[in-house]
Parts: sequence; structure tokens; C-alpha cells
Amino acid sequence: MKLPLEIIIYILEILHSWNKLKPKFLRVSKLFYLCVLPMIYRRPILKSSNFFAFMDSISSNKDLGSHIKELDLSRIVHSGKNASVARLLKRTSKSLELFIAPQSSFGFGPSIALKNCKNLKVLDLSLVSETLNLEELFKSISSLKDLYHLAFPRSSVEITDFKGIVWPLKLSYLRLSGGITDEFLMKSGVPDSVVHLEFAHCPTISDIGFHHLLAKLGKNLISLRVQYPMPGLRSNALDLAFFYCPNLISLEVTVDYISSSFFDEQNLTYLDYPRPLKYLYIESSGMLGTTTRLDPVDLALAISESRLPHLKKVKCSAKLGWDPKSEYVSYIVDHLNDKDGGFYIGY
Amino acid sequence: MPEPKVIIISSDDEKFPVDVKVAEKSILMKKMIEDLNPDGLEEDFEIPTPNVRSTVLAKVIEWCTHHKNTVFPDDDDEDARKSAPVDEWDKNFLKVDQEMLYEIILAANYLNIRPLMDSGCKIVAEMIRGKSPEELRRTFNIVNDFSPEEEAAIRRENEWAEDR
Repeated sequence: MKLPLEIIIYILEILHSWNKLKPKFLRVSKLFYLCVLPMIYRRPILKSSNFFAFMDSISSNKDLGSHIKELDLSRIVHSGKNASVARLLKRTSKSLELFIAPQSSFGFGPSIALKNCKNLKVLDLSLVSETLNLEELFKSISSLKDLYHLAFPRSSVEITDFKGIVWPLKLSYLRLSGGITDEFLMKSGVPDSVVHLEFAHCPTISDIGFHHLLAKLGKNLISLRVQYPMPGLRSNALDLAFFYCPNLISLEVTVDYISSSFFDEQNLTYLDYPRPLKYLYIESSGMLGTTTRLDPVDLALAISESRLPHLKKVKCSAKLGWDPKSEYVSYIVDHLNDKDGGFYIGY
Repeated sequence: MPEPKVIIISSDDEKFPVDVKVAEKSILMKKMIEDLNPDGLEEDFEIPTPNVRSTVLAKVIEWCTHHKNTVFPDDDDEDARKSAPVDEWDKNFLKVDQEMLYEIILAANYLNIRPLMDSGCKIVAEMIRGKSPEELRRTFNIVNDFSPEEEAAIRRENEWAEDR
């Protein structure tokens, strides 16, 4: 008795979802080969140990690259080369939808090669430690009409020609890091389509540029994340996050950039509608002075005064020094539990 | 007066009277009942299943009866459906020979009983995951149309994916 092909394919897809679809299935028959090949190459799991063998296969059989939709090179640390990453992007350019660049070996060549990946939706350069020229990067990505997720490299050359910047049309997630300046934030015209905004490792950004961008985009944002270190920000730079971004559903802040009045009514004001914030994450570098900066009584008060009516989940760093048994933290815990959410302390 | 029944008729003409609720586990039968009885079932309603043998149909009905009150998750999330583990009762229920397992899968596919089809396919997936290409050919009744050289070339080309 035989199962029809559609059912066999479904069974193979189940195996693939369990991560158990091994290349031996390619060798069953020509029909199996045709069915299994796109599954194995759709989202290859690449590590330093198999990267060279993978590159050999892709280089010697040009058709293989056209099956690749997602390429995550985050685990390729020192085994890649600029030329091989560029070649990989070239081979996969027609099908690639998601690309996570490796820490090293992503320089000029690969950034130019991105231009031809016309179907790219997600581009994550956040691990890249080589210095990238942002002007060249923008030239490559400006024509990617489906790109909605962009994470900048950690290290990049400053850009001066702001008029030449063309942002991808559908950009909704933007992670800023590296050589981004206040001037960039003010003049580059970050598009209104951005609803998820992240900052990390931006050594030169100060309150001026930061607040300028939040004033421009804040109302659209549904998630905002500011990660340590942002050495140019003052110790209360994030106090205005609630003011500029009233529609956030998720907010991640670092206690290094908020003051004790973060949850006070002048910052966390009442709105004409219930504030939609559901998820609040408070991180800390643990630097001197951060352990006593934020008192849970202020969050408890904001909750009891219904200034955060939709708040469901709070996760904070243990470095904040909040005692789970204290009266105010217990109040927060009970309240969030009643909302089917929770309060979590991260270590 | 007793509730009208759905009479499911197997390919070998055996009749299985079941409650509407049991028959409705099959989307195909549910649609037929609704389309042909817009005002609800007033009398017994016969549904022939010309592709399904009585022994297989009996098993399928046993599954539908056991799960008549089970609420299955949304059909849309295919990834979640594929990766979800097989229900323990289903696992025991499907401890049958390969021929019967295939016939149950085919019947579930024909009658559109997605959760039964999923469980059956997962049992087959579990069964074949450790098998060699030769054993897989036997399991699926497939002829090897590769030359030994072609097979060796495919093995070489895809070696990078072996150790995951």
C-alpha cells in the first residue's frame, strides 16, 4: 500500500519541524530529492563546523542557493571570509528573505551584494563588528521594497550626506546602533512607518538627538527598547519615554537612564484613553547608584492610580534591589497575577 | 422520539449509526449534513464512504467518538500543529500494523479529520526518522531510481547538513 505524495510531503514537513529531516531522505528516490531539497535548504543550520562544506556545495551547484530563504550566520565567528559571505548572498539573492550577518567577515563586499537580494524582508547586522560605511549600506538597501526589519551594525562610519538617504518603504522595525549621531537622528528622516524602535551601543547619541527622534516618531511606536550602554545619554534621558510614546505596548528601559521620577505623574501622565502598555522590562548595568534609583512604591502607585491600566507583565533586573517580599512589590505581584500576567526578577 | 442518527456506510456496505456530534468530527460529513439538512437533522441520514473499508471505518468512528468533546486548536497555525506532540490516547489507539495506519491516514484525509490525520502522520514520522534510505524505500514502497554514483554525489553535496 502506498501513501499519496501530498501525505508523504506532509510527513516530511513534520520531521523538518522537529529538526529531524536529515539529508539521507534526499537519497530515497528522485521524487524524494525534489521534495526534500527545498526543505533542507530553506533554513540551513550553519555553524563554524559545517560552514565550509556548505559553501563548497553552494559554490559547486548553483541551483542550491535558490532554495535558501533564511540565512543565519550568527554562529559563524571566525570561519567566514568577506568574499564567501558576498558569494553566498549572490547565490541566494533571488530567494533570500532573512539575513543575519556574522560577527566578522561582513564588510564592503557583502554590503554591496545585499543590493541584489530584492526579496529581503529582515536584515540583521547587529553582530557585525567590522566597520561598515552607512552611506554604502543605504545605497544597497534603499531599493529593497519588502524590507521591514533592519538592525544596524555595532560599528559604522558616520554618515554626512543625509539628503542622499532613502529608507526602505516598508520599514517597521529599526534597531539603531554604532556610529549613529544626533545629526543623523535629526536629519536622516527616519520614516513614520517605524513602530518598533531599539537603541543599543550608540556611543555618540545624546539627549538632544534621542528626544528629537522620540518627539517625531513616539506616537507611532508600539515598542521601544533602550539597551545599555548609551554613554551619551544623561541619567534621566528616558524619563520622557511615557510622554513621547503614549501608545507603547512594550517598553524596555535601563535604570541607568531613568530617574526616581520615572513613574511620577508628570512623566507617566493620564491620557484621554487607557494607556495600552502591557509589558515593562527594567534592566540595569549594576553601576554605582543604580541599585537605589528606582523605588517600587512609585510603580505600585502608578498601578493603583490606574495610570497603567493594561500592564500585565513586569520583568526587572535583580540589580534593581527590589525585594519580592516587600509590601509594594507584593502589591505589584498580586495586581499583575490578577491580570493573568506576572512579575519576574531576572538574574 | 430518539435523536436521528447519521448512518455511515463503508465501501463493503456495513452501516455504522452514530450521533451527529461524532460524525461532525469529519469536516466533509459536517458540511454534507449542513448542506443537505439546512433545518437540522429530522430523520436518519445516510453518508456513503466508498473509499473506506468497514474495519478502517470502525477505527475512525472509535476515534471520533473518543474525541467528540475535544476542542482542537485552530487549524490555521500549521507550524504549531506540526510540532505539537501526539496525544497519549491517540498514540495507543494508533498502535496498529502499518497497512491499517496508512488506511486510517487515508480515511482521515478523505473525510477531512485533520487532528486524526496529524496524529497518524506524526506516528509515521516517528517511525521513519531513524531509518536508512533503503528501509525508507520499503516503508513507502518506492523504487530507487538513482545510480550508485548519483547517490554518492548527493551524499557528498549535502554532508554539511548531517550533524544537526
